[in-house]
Order: sequence, then C-alpha cells, then structure tokens
Amino acid sequence: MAAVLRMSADIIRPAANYNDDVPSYILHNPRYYPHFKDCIGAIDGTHVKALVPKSEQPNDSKREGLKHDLTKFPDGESAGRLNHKEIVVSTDEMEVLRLPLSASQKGKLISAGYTSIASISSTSPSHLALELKVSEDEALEILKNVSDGSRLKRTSSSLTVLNGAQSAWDMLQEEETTRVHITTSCADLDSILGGGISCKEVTEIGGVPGIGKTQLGIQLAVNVQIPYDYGGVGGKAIYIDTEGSFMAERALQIAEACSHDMAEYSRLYHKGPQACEVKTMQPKDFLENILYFRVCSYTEQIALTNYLDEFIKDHKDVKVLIIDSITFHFRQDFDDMALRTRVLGGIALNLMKLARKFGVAVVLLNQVTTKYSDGSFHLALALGDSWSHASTNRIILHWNGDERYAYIDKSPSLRSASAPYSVTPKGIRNSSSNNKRIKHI
Amino acid sequence: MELLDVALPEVKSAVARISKATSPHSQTVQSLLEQRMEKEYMAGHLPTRLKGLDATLCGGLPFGALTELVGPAGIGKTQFCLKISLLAALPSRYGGLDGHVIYIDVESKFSSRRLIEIGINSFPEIFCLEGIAKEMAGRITVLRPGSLTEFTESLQKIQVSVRQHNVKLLIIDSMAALVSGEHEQGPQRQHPLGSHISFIKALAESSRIPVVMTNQVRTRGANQISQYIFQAESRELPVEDNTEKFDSRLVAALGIHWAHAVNIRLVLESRSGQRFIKVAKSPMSPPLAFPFQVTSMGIVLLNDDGVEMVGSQINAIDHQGLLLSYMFNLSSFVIWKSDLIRRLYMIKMQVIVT
Repeated sequence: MAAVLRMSADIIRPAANYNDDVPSYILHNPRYYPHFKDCIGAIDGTHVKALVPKSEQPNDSKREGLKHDLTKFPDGESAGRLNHKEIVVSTDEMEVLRLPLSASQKGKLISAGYTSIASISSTSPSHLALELKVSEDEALEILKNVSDGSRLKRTSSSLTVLNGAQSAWDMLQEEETTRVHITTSCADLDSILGGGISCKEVTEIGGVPGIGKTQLGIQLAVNVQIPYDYGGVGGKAIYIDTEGSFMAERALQIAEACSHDMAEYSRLYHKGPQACEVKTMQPKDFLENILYFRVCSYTEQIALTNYLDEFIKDHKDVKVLIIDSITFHFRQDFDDMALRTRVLGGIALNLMKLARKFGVAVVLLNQVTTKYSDGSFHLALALGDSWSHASTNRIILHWNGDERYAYIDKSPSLRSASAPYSVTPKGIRNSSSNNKRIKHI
Repeated sequence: MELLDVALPEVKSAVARISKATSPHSQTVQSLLEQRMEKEYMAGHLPTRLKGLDATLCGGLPFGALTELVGPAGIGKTQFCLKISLLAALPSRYGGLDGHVIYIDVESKFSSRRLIEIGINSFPEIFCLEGIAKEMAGRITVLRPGSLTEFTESLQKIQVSVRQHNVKLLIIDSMAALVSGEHEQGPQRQHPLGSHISFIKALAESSRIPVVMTNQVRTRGANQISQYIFQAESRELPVEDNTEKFDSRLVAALGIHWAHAVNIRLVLESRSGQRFIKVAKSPMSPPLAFPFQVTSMGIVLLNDDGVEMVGSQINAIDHQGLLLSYMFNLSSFVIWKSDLIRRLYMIKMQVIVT
C-alpha cells in the first residue's frame, strides 16, 4: 500500500484528453492553469485560499462585476462562496493598456491573455517570449517596464507612495538649510524679493522695450558667480539669447564693475590672514563662466530646452539659466494658437523640472503686449493667459514717472510690492533719487 | 510614441539626440569676445564717424543686430543711411568695411547724386582718385520692391547674395512704408512683419552684418496705452502735463511688437529747432541725446557728449520746429541746404508759419 501511495503521483493521473475541455481562458492564463492543470477534482469542504492582490483590489469607484463580499475580506479566505469567476473579473481589466509599451506589444499581450500586471510579472522571460512570439530580449524589456510600473503601486502605508513626493515638513527643513538667492545688485529690489532671485524657482520678468530686462539678465549672469565668501552662490550661468540683444562688451563692463566691487569689499572686510585666502575674480573669469547660446528659431529653442537636461548634468555648477527672451520666436511664426499654447506648455514643464531637479534659478525675460479688458486697453505680458501659469514668480518692470520700478505681480511667497532701481554703466544698482521708497501694496 | 510604434525609452532617447543635434552650440562669453576682437572689424562694430554716437555704442553699429532709425519725415534718416552705406563700401585702409551694400529703397528716396556729394565732401582725399567714385557707387545695390510680397520674395535672393557677394551692410528704408496700406490698424494677434523680422535677424546673425532700418512716425491714437492694469489702480502716478500732449503726440510706427524686436533704436527728433539723435533703446548704452545737423557731409554731431535723458523723454518724439524743413522737403537735394536756406529765409518763413 505504501508503495502504491508513493507511486500515486505517477499512476493517478487524468486521462490524456482530460485537459482538452478546459475553457480557453483558464488554459492560457498562467495564474490559474498551473493550479488547475491536471486537477481532477476538489474534495468538498476544502479550503482554497484566495487572495486578491492589492494591485487589483478595487477602489470605491470601480466596483463593477465584483461581488460585494470580496471587498470586505481582501486578505482572507472566503470558502464556499468563492467562485473563480469572482476573482477573475478584476477591476482594472485592461491594466496592460496603460503600460508604457508600444502598441503592437500591448496587442500581443492582450491576445495572449495577459490583461493584468500581476499575470505578466509572474512569468519568466522565456515563457513570455514563447507566448508572445517575440525575442527573449524584448520579453525582458516588457517585464522590466511592467515591474517599473507596478512598483509604484505596491508600496504601502502613508501617502508618500507617489514617487518623488515629499511631505511639507520635509520641504520646509530642506528649504531652511539650502535656500539660496542670487542678488540683483540693487538693495531695494533684493529686499522685496526676499534676498534676490531664488534658486529652484522659475521667475518671469517682463517689461516694455528699453526698461532694462537684458541688463538685469546680464547682471544676474555675473552675480551668480560671486563666490560663497562674498555672500554669493558661486555658480556658472547659462544665457540663452533669442533676440540678439546680448552684447559681450556690456557683459564685460558689468563684470569689471562687479570685480571692482568685490575687491573693495574684500579690502574693507577681509583683513588679516583671511585676506590671502579669499580669491579675487577678474572680469575675464566672470566671462569665462557665462555659457552663451544663440537661438535663431523656435525649433532651436524647443530643442535646446530638451537638451538642457543633459547639458546641465555635464555642467553641474550652473546655478542660473536666463532666457532672453522666451517670447520672441513665439510671437511671429505661429498661425495655430492652440499649437503654440501646447508647445509653450511643454517648455514650461521642462523648465520647471530643470529648476527643481538641478536647483537652478530659471529666469525668463518676457515682452509686453496690449490687452483689451474691462473696456480699455492696457499692457500685459505677452504669450497669453495660459503662459501666466508657467512661472512661479512674476516681476513687471515699468516706468513710474521718470523712474524705473520693479513690481511683483505674482508670487506664492512674496508680498506684492514695488521697488525702484536704476541702470548705470556698472549695471543694475539702487535708484539714486531721494524720494524713492519701497511701496507695499 | 503611438506614431512610431516604438517603446518609450527609445522615443525618449531619440528626442534627446535630435534635440542635441538641433540645439545651437554653446560658447563662453569670453571666447565670444576674443573671437570677435580677432576676426571682425572693430570687434564687430561699424563706426558711423559720429564720435559721440560711436563711443556710446562701444564702437559703432553692432554686427548681427537690428538698428532702427525712427523720426518724423525730413529729419535726416535717409541722409544717415546714405552716409552709412558709403562707410561700409569704403576700402578698409580708409576705415570702411570694404564690402557691398544692399539698399532696399521702398519710398524711392535714394539719391546717387547726393551719395557722391557726401563722399566728395567727407572724404575728399579718397574721392579725388580716378574711378573711386564709380567703384564705391558700384558696390551699393539698390532694390525697389513695390509691395510687401515683392519684398518677401526678394528676401530669399538677398540671403543668397549676402553670402556670394561679400555684402557687409543691409539697409531697409523704410519698414513702415512696406506695411502701410496692407492691413488695418489696431492690436493684432500676429504682426504682419513677424516672419520677416525673424528671417532678417537670423540672416544678420549668421553672416555677422549690421542691419539698419528706418521707421516712420504716427500720431498717438486715442487708444494708445502705456499702463499696466496695476498701475491704473494705484493713485500715485504723476499727472501728465497737458500742454505737452499736443506737441509730442508722435509715436514710432509698427507698434510695440516691433519696438521689442529691434535691438537698437535711434530716435531722431527736433526740439525748438534743434535736431537730436537719441539712443532710445540699446543693450549697451545709456539713453543719451546728441544734437546734430544735416550738412553737405551728411550728418554731423554738434556735441559729442550727449545729454542723458530720463523717463518718458527717452521714447518721446518731438517735431517742433520741423515745420520749416517740411516746406523744403521737395527733394532730398534741398534738405541739406535747409540750414542755409533757413538763415536766408528766416523772416519770410515767420510770415508763412503764422
């Protein structure tokens, strides 16, 4: 008897054609078939542990087809009432469609019977290759994509499930320690900006022609290089020129003034043994650290925005990205406004990603246009209402009588205020008039 | 991704590679400066021989940038253009660019006789040589497009000839005349000259030549705005002096879009009979105004230290006192004599004006 028992596995077997009547759904689904294959029956009263994987558990909005009972006991057993049909109808029936694969791959997966992520991930690459009639490399690729995609859903517990998210408290801690500002060389302007142009954010600066946008851009490109010892950021600058307004001679002038100011500062404040350690920067060094791109069409502009990700990775010390101006090429060649909005939206997202990822201050210089609202015409920044959401902070440079003023139009963390500034041969500096005062609104 | 039926990582890398290939290459500003100093004439500037103006523009009209001359009729814009085209054609040993000039003359104001006259009076030592006048004048090609479409077509040919014929300067006189009559006034979505601006800028940058354009003036319309919405709300604006409104009601034509597109704007105006050339917009100069005169030598600055202007003065275009020269604006030949004639006919003019 014992011998028979031992040989039972080989002897007691279903007939050869037993498996022919199996419904095709179970036949081809590796979830069930390994378990139901060659199964000749179940002894009544046997508990079959059935677990619905968390990834396929329904959320409240997608309850169709699933028996109400199952949702209450996602991890437990449900004897007797369990019907394989109930497990099979998963809520996200076509999860496969949402995977980042090409259309033909998805088609092959579905026709082979793989509709959920779990079913794919439980197979081996060679098995998958056989099923889909693709090469093993491709099958590996698919599996990799699947596991990348499903990993997001598998993490448990708190709301930090979403990849890359942070709690507000963590963000605050991070900001306290690493917040940096690039000075604009104008004390009033710096004070309303909370120290200067902040890194990690996108700032948009707009104004009428001749108000000093390019000047401010060049000043920031020079100021970002001020070393840490002098209270600066000590980084490099990328200057993207779309209009041809960048004059190297002017940059040299501003660099010379900055270098001179630094020498003065070092003379006054760094006395004693420290003085020799603090290096002075020559105007030439300033110019060496400004990387200049000249863009002549909107395709080049889009291409450059895409390429910057790689470029900044190679030049890790870039701390400011100035685009002068983002508007120029988008104001003329577009007949289809909807396309323009989409393209600009894509660029805006790219720039915001760059700012966050590399901690770069992105400064966009914008032009001005006329807008009609409330029965009258007035000036507004160009590129339309949809673009106004692209930047974190918005500063408008305008004339107020005979003075140039900067007004904070939109900012999540700064108060609405305006401050005067002036453009001198040395660059942007404080306004020299006596009755100037910062106005808080 | 759906279009190409390829997987996501491949598409991403393809986009990245294409972007890298299409992007312009980078250069440090220091190397840019060095390169220009080495290869280009006067580090990339065309000197105008007006000392004050050249000093403030760091050497002259910059290569690769659009310079605009705007002012009321008869003030001297075409005279400036004629002088500049001569300067570009001069051989380098005399301080010129030794190249060809393309002059696009929309309003038929080009006068070759006047050109030679300027040459003889400004550079007598050069022009007395045999055949120089013919060669200089031969280097200036004059185009006369009759409409905006003709101009658009000729732009392509201009691009070709800039490369082939060693063209060193492009002058368009005037831009406003090309557009006038072709569209209705008022704020528009896309500027009619939009594609031309990009094209000309790209051309200027790739061939490193200066481009000079002239522009007309228009009367300031009732719906001309100069304020932002937050400015209208605040009550602290200084009230405009009403008496000035009548005289300085001129603005440059072609709108604010055009004002953004040009790199340097030189405003020519006349205040109480004295003409001024103002640097209204320039990335490298403070807003200075120089008094000038139109003489047989073209334009001459009366004072090389400019007067700095502030605020609304920078962009204001005045035309007081210009009425006198309007009377003589019958032919360009007469304009340069306006000073002489003005002195002779002073008394008579007073009678006519009142």
